[in-house]
Amino acid sequence: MKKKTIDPKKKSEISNIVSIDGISNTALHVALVAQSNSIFSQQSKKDSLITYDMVTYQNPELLKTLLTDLSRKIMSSRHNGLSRKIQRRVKKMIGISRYLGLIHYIK
Amino acid sequence: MTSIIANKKSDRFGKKSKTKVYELIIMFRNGASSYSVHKELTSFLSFSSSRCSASVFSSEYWGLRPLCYDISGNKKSHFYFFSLEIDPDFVKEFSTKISQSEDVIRHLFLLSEKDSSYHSKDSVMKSNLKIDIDKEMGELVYDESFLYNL
Repeated sequence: MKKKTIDPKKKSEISNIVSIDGISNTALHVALVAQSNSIFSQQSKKDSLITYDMVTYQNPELLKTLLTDLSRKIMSSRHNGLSRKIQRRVKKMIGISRYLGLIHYIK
Repeated sequence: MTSIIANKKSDRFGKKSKTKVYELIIMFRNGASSYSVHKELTSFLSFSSSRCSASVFSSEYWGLRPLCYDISGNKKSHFYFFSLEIDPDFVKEFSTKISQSEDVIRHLFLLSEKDSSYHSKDSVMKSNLKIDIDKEMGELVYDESFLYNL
């Protein structure tokens, strides 16, 4: 089994994500986070370009991409392509940023 | 002839310091003046150094940021960030001291995973501050009179 290598240049692009009008949040984050040919493919878990150190409460824009449109729920690791360790950290940091008022609880 | 009996490890080798590195975030209300904010921050830090024997590594001001929801009637708040080394037994006293002030909306202590050398640099929020100011289109205000330098 060959392991996939991640380009270190692409990691810096995801740190500051800009929202695009006309495209929903779910479609955007699926295209950026989990690279796949089709948006609705759930056959295999693709590795995302998000690392452990990038997930902080001080980076709310990255955390918003991992939430649904109304920011009610956190997307599962199946959609995000994140490991278990990072998914647990995402849950913790979203709770902290919500308490500080940087992210909505419900829009 | 005196004899010293040391039964405990702390008597033999001395007490070890239990200090840990914490991140402190304080949020002030929108209508607070810079004078009152600086006055309260000096009182907090003097309390921490005298009573809690804490050492502060860095202080940052993240500006007057808009909030996603109202907190006690405020739609914006001043964010201050401190990284300090303190004994965990004194964290509760320090938090009660901060909560007693009227201008403080919320505060948060976080146990950091990184060392003190990591906190000597600018945080992620401060490095992205210029980008955030352009995105918020005037809602995010960075007034230098509110800067608090140690």
